[in-house]
Amino acid sequence: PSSEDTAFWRAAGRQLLQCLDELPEAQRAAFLLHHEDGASVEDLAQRLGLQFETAKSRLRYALQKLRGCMRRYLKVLETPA
Amino acid sequence: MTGLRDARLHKALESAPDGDMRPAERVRREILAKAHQAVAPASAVPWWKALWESAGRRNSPWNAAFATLVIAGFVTVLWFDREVPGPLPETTQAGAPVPSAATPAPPVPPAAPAPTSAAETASPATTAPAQIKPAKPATDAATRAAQSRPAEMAQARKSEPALSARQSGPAQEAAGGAEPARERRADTKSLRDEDTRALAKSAQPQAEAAAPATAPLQGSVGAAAGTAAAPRAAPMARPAAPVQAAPAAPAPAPVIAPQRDAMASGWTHAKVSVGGREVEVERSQAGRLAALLGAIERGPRGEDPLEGPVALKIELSEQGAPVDALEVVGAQVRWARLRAGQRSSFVAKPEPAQLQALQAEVNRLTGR
Repeated sequence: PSSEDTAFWRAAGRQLLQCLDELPEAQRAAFLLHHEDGASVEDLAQRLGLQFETAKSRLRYALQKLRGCMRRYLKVLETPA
Repeated sequence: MTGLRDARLHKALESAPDGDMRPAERVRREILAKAHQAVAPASAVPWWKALWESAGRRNSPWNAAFATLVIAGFVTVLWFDREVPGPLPETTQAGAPVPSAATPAPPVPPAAPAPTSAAETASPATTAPAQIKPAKPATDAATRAAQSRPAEMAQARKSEPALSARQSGPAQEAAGGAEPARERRADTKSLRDEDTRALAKSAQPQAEAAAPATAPLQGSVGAAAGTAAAPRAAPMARPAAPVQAAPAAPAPAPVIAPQRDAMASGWTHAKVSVGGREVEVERSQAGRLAALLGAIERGPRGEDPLEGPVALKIELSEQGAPVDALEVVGAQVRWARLRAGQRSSFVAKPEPAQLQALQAEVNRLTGR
């Protein structure tokens, strides 16, 4: 990857960390377990001691908030180069 | 990108600053597991299970506790049917029992000359192996002297038929002398305790009973002339009477302690001259001599002029310097103090029993 891409993703990652700090703990845990640890929704529900649908809804809410927080960077990615 | 998984956010997360400094996956899983255990409700694990799990930890010294229990049980089994040893009585000093035995008693004097003459007329063959010589080690002499007295008392009480049976020549005399010595050593401790209790009892009118009791004993001793037991029967008889008469004597008599032996505290050597024989002994080897001399010094004074030959002479010295000089004349003792600046003299009139005890001790020291 070019240096520009690296810098872009680095900045996006910094912004994502800030967005994660603003998430509630339950949603943050759900997002990190699903995206960072690679846990499935079933595993997520079991680890957090939640119902399957509850875990799923928490994950959905987390994604919704993060996408809104990362709107600027995601918009760049959608724009064709 | 799926509905619940966004690849763009995933890549942003991996590209985040310090993203490559995350710990290894295995470590992160362990951390997560510990975190879940920490927040798990306590009631989920029963107390006995938690205790059992904690026992499996390496930092619990269960092996040491088990070993301690095994050792405690072993010691308990070993000592189960044994008595715990209590405090042992203090070993009496060489001079301690002597004053009690030498305590005068009224019934004793009439019978005293009889055993004395029997001892003097004993043949030279009566010198038994048990006779202590002044050259022997101090501890050996002191111990045997302390042991001989209670053993002699017991033997006087118990072995009256044996004494009368010992009328023999020199061979049997030596054997008879060896046997009392062995019996004395075997019965020392129990007899000493028994005699101490007897002496410590309150005064009772037993002197009269003691006189007839000892008279036949001394009579049998006098009849067994020339036997090995005769010289020791004399001290046996004499202590036997004082032992039984001690309760009738004044109360302090049996409790003559070494600390009252003030007179003899200054001498280290004693030169004893009797019957043409002279011997010098150290105080530690002198046995009961110190206690006897102390008792004589504390005894009554005499005022009669001394008449008669000197039967016994004792010169006490301290590190070569003369301290006292004693001369036994008849039934009295001329005592001369020879210390520089403290020269004086007096006449002591000891009890016949004390004189006899002194004579016996001198004879023992001189090997007569």
